[in-house]
Amino acid sequence: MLFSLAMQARMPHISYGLEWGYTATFFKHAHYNFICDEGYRINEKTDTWRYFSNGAVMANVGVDITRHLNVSAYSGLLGVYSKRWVIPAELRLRYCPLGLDASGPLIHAGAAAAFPTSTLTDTGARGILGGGYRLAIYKSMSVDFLLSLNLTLDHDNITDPDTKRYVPRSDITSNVSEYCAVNVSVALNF
Amino acid sequence: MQLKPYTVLAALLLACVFCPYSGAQDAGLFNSPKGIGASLYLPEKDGIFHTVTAYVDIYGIPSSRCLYPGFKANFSRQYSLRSWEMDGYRIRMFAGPGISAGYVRDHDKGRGIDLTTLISDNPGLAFAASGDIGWRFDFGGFVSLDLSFTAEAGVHARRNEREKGYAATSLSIYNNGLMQAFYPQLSIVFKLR
Repeated sequence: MLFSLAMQARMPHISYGLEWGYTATFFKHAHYNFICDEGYRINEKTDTWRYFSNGAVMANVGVDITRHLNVSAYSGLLGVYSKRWVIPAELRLRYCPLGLDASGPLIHAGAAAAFPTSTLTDTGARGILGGGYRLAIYKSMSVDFLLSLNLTLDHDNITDPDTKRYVPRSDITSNVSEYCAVNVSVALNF
Repeated sequence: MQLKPYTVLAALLLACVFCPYSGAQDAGLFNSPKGIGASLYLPEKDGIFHTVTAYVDIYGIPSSRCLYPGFKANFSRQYSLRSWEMDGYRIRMFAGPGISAGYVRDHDKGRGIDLTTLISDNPGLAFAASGDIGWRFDFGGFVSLDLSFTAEAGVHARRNEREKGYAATSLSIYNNGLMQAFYPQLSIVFKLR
């Protein structure tokens, strides 16, 4: 009896859910440093303010560490900027000051490795910080309305300006693109 | 140019939701791979109720193949078919016919799963007869969930892309109405009264 009670007390609640939303990507910073086909070095830094609409859908599974804190692994499909999709492997913390099973505000923060699905070849990274409001519906089922700021890093395929072919990896010193976006999403939690 | 229909649509929806004479019993946040929008549920009488749904059609948007979304509205007459009492909540099944209209892009043939190619920008008017089937999950509180599927059979009228010199209309079957029939539609429904 005591053993059973002790086991129940220690058994954390396993959470799972689905999240989907709209991502407004508005800024890209890129830094390319490479040797082109004719032998000279190109060092280029660009800041581009341009608006792109993207979508995001992710599933998650996690555990309630305490009554207020949940840690979950997320994965799914994210649109980034123009014509690119990534599959993230994300770890996210969610904190609900009033309790995970209660209606109230929440904040979340996550970090992810972002695996490209097309066009790109190198693994990128993603960070997310935001908050929202949780509506408790039934037992541990709830709906979250979320607003987040996303930062995604990836590595472009750099095209040589003369040959129009991709620059070989050995000729690239720096190749980082950063994308800033705002994400509005809805999550269903169980 | 593109914003005007959305402004009108948003104003109409807000007017419906907040107008005390609209008679809406519930209002829902419509979520689907088809798009995002709002639903209104009119009061049920003799096992029949009506729904009005309006949403931005995001075909081609998530992958940035198109910059601007379309929009679509649907009016359906729903018949309550069955209900089940579960452990503290109730499931009600409903189905019914309706009509849809909108200004949307249609499926670009042969490139349905291509996420990177820019689709031809062919927005046009869509008119369709629709069939709806759904399940309402009522948990007793002021929020419930509504899962449904809608098939639409109709036509899509748009500018003929091949006729560049002068305006010509192209009329075809509205492919997305049928191809997106299996896309789930989840509404988060709030009781208004």
